Amino acid sequence: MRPLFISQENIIKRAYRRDRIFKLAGGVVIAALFLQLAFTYRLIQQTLTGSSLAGENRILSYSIRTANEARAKYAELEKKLADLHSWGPILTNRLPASAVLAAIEQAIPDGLVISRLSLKAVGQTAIKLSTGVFMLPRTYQLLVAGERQQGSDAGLTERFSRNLLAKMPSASRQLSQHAGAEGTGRPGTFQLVLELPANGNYHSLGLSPVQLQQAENL
Amino acid sequence: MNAITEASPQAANPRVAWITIAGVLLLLAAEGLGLWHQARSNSGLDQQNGQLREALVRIKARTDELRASEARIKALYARLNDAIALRKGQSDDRLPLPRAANPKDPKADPPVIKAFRESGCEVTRSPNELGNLSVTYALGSSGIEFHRLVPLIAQQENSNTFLVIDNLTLERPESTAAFSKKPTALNARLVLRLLANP
Repeated sequence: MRPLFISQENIIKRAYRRDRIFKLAGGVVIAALFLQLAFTYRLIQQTLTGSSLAGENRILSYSIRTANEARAKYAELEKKLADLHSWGPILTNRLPASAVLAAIEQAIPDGLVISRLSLKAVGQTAIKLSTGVFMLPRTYQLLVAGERQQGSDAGLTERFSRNLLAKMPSASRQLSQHAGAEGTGRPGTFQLVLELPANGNYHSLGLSPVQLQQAENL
Repeated sequence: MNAITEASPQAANPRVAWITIAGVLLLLAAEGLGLWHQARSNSGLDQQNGQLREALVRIKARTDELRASEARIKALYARLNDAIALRKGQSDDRLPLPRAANPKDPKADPPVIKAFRESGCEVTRSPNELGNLSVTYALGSSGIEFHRLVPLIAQQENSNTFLVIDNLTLERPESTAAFSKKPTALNARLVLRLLANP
């Protein structure tokens, strides 16, 4: 239909009003305007948060610098503490040979006498310290050899071995046991070989807890 | 001349609408991206602040801990450090004097070794084979009874926390009969190591 009484301007305006695509464009523009409010609100919020966080960051950085300066005064003390910590394994694991000897003395029964005793480190552990390496015995081999009184109980060596093993550090084990028969006018002999781990569990050796605690508290 | 109708392209160009929609959407997307970037940067800053806060607490706690136990650490360190042997001819940060470096000088021995020497042990310094922080000594004696030797070793083990015995051999002399009631001096051989400064 040809419009006869409507001006061209009105036709164009009507087309803008009625056409779907222009309606959609208008809706989008209006929605965008509303979204601008939300955007602006969020933008202000984010900016404020950002500046507050940046301020906090500056304060924290300054505090850390100050705290580090305060800590630097204790650098030597920290080195000493690190040394104490590195010495810890030596203090806790070192096998006290005197305690082993005392335990043997306590365990030996009347009918046996020791003629040879040897305590030998057979394995070493490297302990790393700040200045180098110190080797600490990890395992010891204890050899106890001696004589049995003539006419004594045949199970004496066995009992001594059990008793001795009970007094040794935990996880100790017997490697060998040998009992020689008595001869004419000659006492019987015995030989025990034990393996003793230097693991720091020396309660059975009768070490006082204070000594152990001191090392553990480092 | 053609008259303009609602459907004619001169009346309303739909491209204008599409361009407007695209422009608005682009603008919204750009704004959203900007906001997202800022949120991400804020979140990163917040995370960084959290880490700084934790580090600060840790440093302060560590400093307080050190301050509180300063006396104890110093005392324990001094006690244990005294046990570390100085190598012969080594003096604090100084070059050895020509006359001072005499390895056979018993005065230069650590107190533990002096004590063994004074108890009648023969002491020789062995070459060090284990680690770079050990000084090794071989000790021998044939004049100490078991009941004197055990307390002697115990005393030295207690006085030097870094004294390690690598080898200990005790033998009854062949001249002494088994089950003898007389005090018997044992043939004793010890190899011991002390922690030393490098």
